[in-house]
Amino acid sequence: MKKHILLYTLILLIFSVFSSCKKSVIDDNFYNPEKAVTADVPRLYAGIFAHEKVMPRYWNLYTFHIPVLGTYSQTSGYTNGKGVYEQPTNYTGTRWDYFFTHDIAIYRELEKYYNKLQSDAEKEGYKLFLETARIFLYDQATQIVDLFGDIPFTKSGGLNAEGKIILPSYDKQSELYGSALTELKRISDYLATISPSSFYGNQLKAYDYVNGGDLIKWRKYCNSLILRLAMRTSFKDENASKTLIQTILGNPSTYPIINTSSESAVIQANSLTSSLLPSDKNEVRNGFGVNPFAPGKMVNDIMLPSNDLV
Amino acid sequence: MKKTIKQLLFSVLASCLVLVGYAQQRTVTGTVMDENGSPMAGVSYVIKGSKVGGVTNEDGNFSVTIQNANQIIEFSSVGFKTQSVTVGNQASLNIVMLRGEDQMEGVVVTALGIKRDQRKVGYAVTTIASKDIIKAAPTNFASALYGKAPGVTITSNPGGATSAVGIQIRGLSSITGQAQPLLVVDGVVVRNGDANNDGYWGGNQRINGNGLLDINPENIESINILKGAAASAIYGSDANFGVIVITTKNGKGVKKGLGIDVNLTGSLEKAYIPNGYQSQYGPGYDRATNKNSFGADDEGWIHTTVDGKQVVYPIFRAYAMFGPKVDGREVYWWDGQMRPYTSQGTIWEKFYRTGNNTNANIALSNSSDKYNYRLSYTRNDYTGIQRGGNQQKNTFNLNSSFTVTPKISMDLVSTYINEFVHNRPRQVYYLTNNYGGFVSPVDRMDVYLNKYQTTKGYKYVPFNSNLDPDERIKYSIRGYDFLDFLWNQLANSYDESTNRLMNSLTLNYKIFKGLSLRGRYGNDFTSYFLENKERSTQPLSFGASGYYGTAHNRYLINYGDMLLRYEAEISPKVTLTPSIGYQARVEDYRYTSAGTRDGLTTENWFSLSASKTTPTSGSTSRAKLIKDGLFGILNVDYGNFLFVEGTFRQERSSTLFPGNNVYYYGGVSGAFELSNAFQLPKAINYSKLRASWGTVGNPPGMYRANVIYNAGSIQGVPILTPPSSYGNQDLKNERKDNIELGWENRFFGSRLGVDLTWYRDKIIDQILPLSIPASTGASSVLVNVGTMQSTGLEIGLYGTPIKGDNFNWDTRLNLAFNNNKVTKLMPDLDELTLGNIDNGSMIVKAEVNKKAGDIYVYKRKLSSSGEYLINDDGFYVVDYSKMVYAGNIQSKVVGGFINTFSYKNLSLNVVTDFNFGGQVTSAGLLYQRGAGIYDNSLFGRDAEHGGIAYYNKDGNYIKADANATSGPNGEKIFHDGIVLDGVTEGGQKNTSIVDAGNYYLTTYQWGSWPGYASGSLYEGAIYNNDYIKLREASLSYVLPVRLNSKWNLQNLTLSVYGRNLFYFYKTLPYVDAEDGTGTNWVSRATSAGSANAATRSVGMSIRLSL
Repeated sequence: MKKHILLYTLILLIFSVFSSCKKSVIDDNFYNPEKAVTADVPRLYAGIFAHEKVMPRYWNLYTFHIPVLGTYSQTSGYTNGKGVYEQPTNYTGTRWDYFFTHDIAIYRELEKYYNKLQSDAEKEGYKLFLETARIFLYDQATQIVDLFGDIPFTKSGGLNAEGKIILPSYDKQSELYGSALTELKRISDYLATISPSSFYGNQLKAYDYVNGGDLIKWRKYCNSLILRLAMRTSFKDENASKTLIQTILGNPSTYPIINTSSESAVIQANSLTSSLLPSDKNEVRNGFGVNPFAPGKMVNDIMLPSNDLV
Repeated sequence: MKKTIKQLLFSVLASCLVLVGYAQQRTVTGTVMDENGSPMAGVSYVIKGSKVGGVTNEDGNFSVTIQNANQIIEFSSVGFKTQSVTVGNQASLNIVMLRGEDQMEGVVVTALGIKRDQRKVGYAVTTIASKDIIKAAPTNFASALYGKAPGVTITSNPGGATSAVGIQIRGLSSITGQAQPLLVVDGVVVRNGDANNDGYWGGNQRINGNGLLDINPENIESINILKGAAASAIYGSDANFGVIVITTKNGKGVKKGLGIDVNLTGSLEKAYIPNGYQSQYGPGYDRATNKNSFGADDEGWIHTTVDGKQVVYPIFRAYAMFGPKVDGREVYWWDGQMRPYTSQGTIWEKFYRTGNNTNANIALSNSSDKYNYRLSYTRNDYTGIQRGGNQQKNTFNLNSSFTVTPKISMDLVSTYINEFVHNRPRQVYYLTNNYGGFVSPVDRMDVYLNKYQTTKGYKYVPFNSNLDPDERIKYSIRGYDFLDFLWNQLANSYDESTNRLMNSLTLNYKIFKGLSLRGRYGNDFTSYFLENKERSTQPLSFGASGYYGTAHNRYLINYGDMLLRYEAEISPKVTLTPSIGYQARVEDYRYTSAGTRDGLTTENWFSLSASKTTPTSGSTSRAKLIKDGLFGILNVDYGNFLFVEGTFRQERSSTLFPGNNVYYYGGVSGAFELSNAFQLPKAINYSKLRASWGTVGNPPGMYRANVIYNAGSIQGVPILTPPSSYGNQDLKNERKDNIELGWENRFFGSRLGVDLTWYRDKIIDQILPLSIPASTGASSVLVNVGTMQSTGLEIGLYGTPIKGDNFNWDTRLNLAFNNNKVTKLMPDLDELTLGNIDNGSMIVKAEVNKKAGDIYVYKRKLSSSGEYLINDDGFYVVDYSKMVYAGNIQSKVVGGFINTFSYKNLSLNVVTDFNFGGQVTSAGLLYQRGAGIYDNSLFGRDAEHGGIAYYNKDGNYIKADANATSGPNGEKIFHDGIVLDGVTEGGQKNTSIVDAGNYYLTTYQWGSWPGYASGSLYEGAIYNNDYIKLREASLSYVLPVRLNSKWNLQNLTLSVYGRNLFYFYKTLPYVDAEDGTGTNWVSRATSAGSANAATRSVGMSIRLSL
């Protein structure tokens, strides 16, 4: 009998040893070692500009940009046929999805990690990242409004922001444009007055491959965007647009704008082997292959008579 | 003389024992003989209830000491009925062993390798013995399971011996996470896996294999399939899809001394090319396109001059076959030769070659009191039907057990598999599902085989290339993808070497009566090496080309378990057997690859040093999975007719978030043996009622629950982006609650058997990549949502209708019905997309309150009177406002019908299996109909096929009299008009004529979604897939015993067999009914015809034992 009890306890001991020693091992192997599980403001910021719809890419050119936008706006030629103005919902859907799963998602993550920052100095310094990213976000958001009308915006990206599935309500396009203009003006004013410390300024320089951390370039982008958006709404609300435009144009030192093509706001690859460029060097050419025809009316009746042939 | 000494010794021993004073104890001796009176050696005997026993010697003699007269001695030998004899007052016993059913029939191997009598088991277990597996010499064991186990559906990827085989037990257990059942070999969990579920573009475009292919059917003793939750609850969350327990052959049961088994098999296999290819028309589009885009004449001929001679050729560039009618005239071929314009039948017959498979196996086994072992070597050489590939495999297997001390025994099983595969078959997707690969009925295989490479050994030169004007193809052709395919399979090398080592070491310790401890350690180690050599396609002077890449992967599973069992007879009627155990598993995967970039600097120098661009490309990654479980089992046996088993398991898994990764599963099952409990009519010799309830889980795959960021770098700047498929830290295991009721019966002395099983699975907390609106920030997120209910009925009918001295007929019918329904997805969400074909032209989805796997397409618009609307051009109008249900990819009933006829020494075994009630989709069949490749596109092409006569007046087709020779103004009369049945927008009956070519091209083409302005009908891609197939037939002859003993043989069996011979009934046209790729149910049903042709094989084998 004693022998049995001894045996049982021995065996139970062995089991418990087995069971306990492994807990940490099991927990430690939850995360995929090949992926990043935490993020931070600068790297997310750099991620937002790796943009498949701003950069010319085969998929967007071939399925959306040229056949849909180009046909509608008569900026690319096309073969006439049935249904040329019908919206190919799968491709316009992809464009819609990209805005939310890329631009909005990264922006919400950016906000989330910004709000997690501990010290005021960090918050002050990284604000640069947040504000300049906002310029780009509003640019993209208003483009999506131009395409689709009312879109979800203020409540969008709930999964990234809060980790919950929040089905966002739609915002009215006029309200969106209004808030975009107000925000852009605020950002422009902020960038005009800010003088970042060398630490955070250098951070921006390192991560900003669009404008190299140059705040003047960002302000030009922001202000020219305000001009464009104000012109868009000028028919609806002429006075508001007029005031805004006059403020911008009237104070070139406070509100510098893009004046020459060399100052254009672009995401520019720094060399022929840059990772911003597609690996297949024929990608853009193939993308144009969908409708490689010049738009007759635009070229012959508008550009030629006005000598706009650069 | 020997005999006398032995007897003397025995009596001396007996007297010694008497002297020591064991009063009732005495020795019993005797001889064991077979029905013919010959002594039987190697028969095991044991005193029931004790461990005292042994094995009879060469003379069939035994001697054992008993404690009292009531003890029972049990005699057993494989292939013979076990005999139990009460000693009584006899001093010596003569035992006659009768040939009985295979001993395996009474014993099943359940979870954790615990052997139990079939009659005591309370859940459905199907056992398949070795002889049923090797009859038709399959290349892997799963192919031998077709139709043999009710509720088990086998799907082989059609690439031959190197292609994965998927096993589905019962119905769907997970909407999106359906995976392969757990594979356990000699108690150790081994690597299996899925293959080819990511479509053509997702992987390496080849038909890949999975882990179960390495398990040699020759070495398998039995396969036990555990289907329900109660059966597999012990395995916890891995058992959601069922468990396949494989036991390999060991040395037991062989007579003392060395036994040698030799087996040689050889078979030939040919591609199964169904009929139906049209061979009357050559390449060309509709008339208008032929004339306007290619400058051809009305028939479709292009006229040109070569070396001063007038020649013609059809538009070989066209993917469609509406060109000139085949009439035998001389044609200027695309390689510059003149050839007659005739049809060679379909090119696919010559595209494939005859494959062959040879298998040689030798096994040595030996047994004695202290040990037994079986050592085997198998050599396998395989050449498949697809050109350019072959496989060689060596398998070494050792299965041994030792009795270290009377209380401790050890089993060691070790398998080493070494395999080399050269140019594993490629998916022919790019030739059958892609317009770039369509070749015409007049095309010739020998021309393609000649032209895929130039005479200098480079890749073929297209007509407009400057690389080598002499070698150029003379004009543009469609078959570039065809030539690419041949280049890839014949010129390039994709060499895979795999070395796999599977070991299992078990220690059994009988502590004392009733208490035993078993510890086991096993591992499954695979080293995989790939060398990918792509030859230079052009001379170096035009630029570097070619590629060399290697991959080196290592997969390792380490497994261990411990089991403590105590069997206690509490009262004469009640026996309790509690067990407690622990099981753990670590899976470790490492992947490394490297390759050249932008070409090789020296032609065909395959080395990383030849890379034009440095640094060369490379990647490395790791993945790890750890799982463990603590479990307990309690068996209660009451009165030898009621058997209850309860199991409970606590489990942890590293795929779930820490703090959220502990789970509990359990099950209870009971078996009530009516035939033992009550006095049943004599006709019923066995009847058992079973009931079980259990829970198993299904965890998410490795790292799926992670919320991670994709990392990268742009111009040296590190970037992070959140994924558009979001993970979920709160993820839980999926859970399956299973209730099963069964009734097993055998009548008339086991001549008739009926097994019935009814089950209901409720699967909750389904892990679904829920498609959410992108405005939430991601387009899908993993959530536990969704409930699915699956109900089924499995019927097994078997018996021996004819049992005579010379002639026997055994038959077995297996039927399985399954019906599942998605009962809930997510609030506000009614459907989940499972498959999207051709940019939304066809969607496969799971909808609430419907069976998962519904197919939706856009159908034709109907008028208010219910007739088809025809537009002004004469074609159907597709209604893009809504998608319509068009079928479901799950079958309703699956089963098999197996018959064995034996006459004296000859035996014929026929396995037929069938499948009814599901649909499959094949975009490839749709495109090919539109391209005029099959005979379903012949209607309307000429008067003979119902075409209407018409003439062309200013672009309008005006109907003409069938006998007219010209129009009113001398216009040419054409005979390929079709008028579609329907009404115009205005409600008038349709009279517009369209030409046949245009009709097919418009109505059956790629792409049908809103905004694409297409008239294509994807319902033309959906087919019923019902079939009855003759799966296996084998005829074997066992050489008579007298001949055997002349050559000292134990038995010699010659057999001839065939596999996948033909279909009794098939609804899917033009392709084999099982020609889909992927081991996942959605992938298989949506890829018909895109993998490789299915095969039929015929072979013979010789099996002998010495």
